[in-house]
Amino acid sequence: MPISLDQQMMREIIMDHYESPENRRQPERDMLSAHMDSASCIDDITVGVRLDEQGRVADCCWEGTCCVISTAATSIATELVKGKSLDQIEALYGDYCAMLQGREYDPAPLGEAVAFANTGRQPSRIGCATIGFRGILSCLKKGE
Amino acid sequence: MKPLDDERIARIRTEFPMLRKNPLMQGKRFCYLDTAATALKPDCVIAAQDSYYQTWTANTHRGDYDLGHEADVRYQRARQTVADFIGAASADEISFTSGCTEAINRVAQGLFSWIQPGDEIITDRAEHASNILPWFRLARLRGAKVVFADLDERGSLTPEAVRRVLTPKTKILAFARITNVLGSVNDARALCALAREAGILSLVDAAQSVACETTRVEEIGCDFLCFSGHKMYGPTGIGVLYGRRQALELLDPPTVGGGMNARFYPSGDYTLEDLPLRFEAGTQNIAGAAGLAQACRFVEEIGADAIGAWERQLKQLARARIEGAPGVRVLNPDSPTGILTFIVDGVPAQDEGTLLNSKGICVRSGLHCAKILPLVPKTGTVRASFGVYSDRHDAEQLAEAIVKGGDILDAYFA
Repeated sequence: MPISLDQQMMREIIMDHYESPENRRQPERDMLSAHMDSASCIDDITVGVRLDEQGRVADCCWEGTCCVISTAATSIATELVKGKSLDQIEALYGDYCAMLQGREYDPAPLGEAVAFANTGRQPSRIGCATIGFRGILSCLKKGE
Repeated sequence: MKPLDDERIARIRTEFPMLRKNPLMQGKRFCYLDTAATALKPDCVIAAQDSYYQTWTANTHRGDYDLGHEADVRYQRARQTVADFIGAASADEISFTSGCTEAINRVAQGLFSWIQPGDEIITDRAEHASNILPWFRLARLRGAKVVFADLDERGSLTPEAVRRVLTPKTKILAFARITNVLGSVNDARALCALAREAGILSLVDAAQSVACETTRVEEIGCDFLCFSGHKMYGPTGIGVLYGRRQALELLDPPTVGGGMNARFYPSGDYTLEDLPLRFEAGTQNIAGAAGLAQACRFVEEIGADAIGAWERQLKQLARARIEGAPGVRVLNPDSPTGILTFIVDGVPAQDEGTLLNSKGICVRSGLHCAKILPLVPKTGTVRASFGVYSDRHDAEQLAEAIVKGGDILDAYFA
């Protein structure tokens, strides 16, 4: 993944994940799951995580209704976390939030999530860009 | 009442500091179309609220000194102004709340002892959460039941629909005069007449209507009427519960403490203050009441009906421009209010709202606290709502932005 994407590539990443989201399927009953919704917007999703024996994410999926930004960001997040431990995901999420808030961050672990680097231009949408990650972290905390 | 015109609106706009001080948003002309969520405040309201902090700060009910007396007089005068604004028979029928939500909750909680297991409460699916959840909770706690009357094709509640679900167990009918998502208008007089005839209580949520039509509670014939200050150009944190005296007497005060009791004794007994003070425990939002009273005068001076007519005119101006645009669907073309609700095919409401934000336009998108309203897709709706300061440029800016459309990601990349 190139670190410096041009704006057109960033748009394409977001639209690709919105139109064909990854891992979009109903979480299975034996997964750790978290229901994420909001009083103020349409987002209403359920995130599911299955851990392997080492406590790493073996599988991650999600289902529900949400906007373009939430859909694409959740799609990318569920891909990014596969194979990673809670510590690694927390570190990655820290960089992601720093990027969204316009602070210094390490783009290397963020992969396609760097497509959301401009979200801060519409600060009311930072919650949309993080809903999937927050759901995943909520699942992982339940698994601790 | 003189109708509003462009020239008058241009003058009114100069009275709003938010418009003077924020010419731009996202580098575009600031276009505030979210009055149904909260209205901007004119100088006179801000000054009236501020005057409490600047020149007459004192607690009410308790001072033997001049300022304490002045605070009492002004607070009571604010109550009288509100009573006059809605045509109440007496200021004693007005109690201040933190807003419309608290006012409805005050009624629902106050009826806890009065409502009995098996009783029914009628409302409808177009109501704001604040006029459904208090009834859900009352029903759950008391073993009563909330019954939804059907809406007509315009999203309005009709007396016929209420009649169909009315039973001997029905105790309360609660509805909005103007609903907040579709701006549908309910015939409050006919609905309250039906409630009276059936011997049940009626509650009107007037949050969306008090600033855009003359409200006369005696003519409506309601038992309770609730509204917020902040949607009618007043401060946040202040609202009103109006109740007919006999209806208010049914309510147990949900909050107890200073200012609402006449006497209390070591035995645990206490006696209540008269209406309406028994509902106002603790130090009240005195500054907010002063601001709200000024908001009442502000609306009266311009004329609530004239404001409503102007808002409808702008709504229809924008509607005419956007109807027929590819993929745009107006959900409430005929609702006679300043609320324009629409969707753009294939675009979640939140993303359309952000695109409009990038063009300087403030609208509300999503489910608007009406999460069980039929007609609203899961992906939400976009609601633009006009106010007394809205002008033709606002309607045109909105219409142009919707018609032109564009890539929703332009909000982040353009």
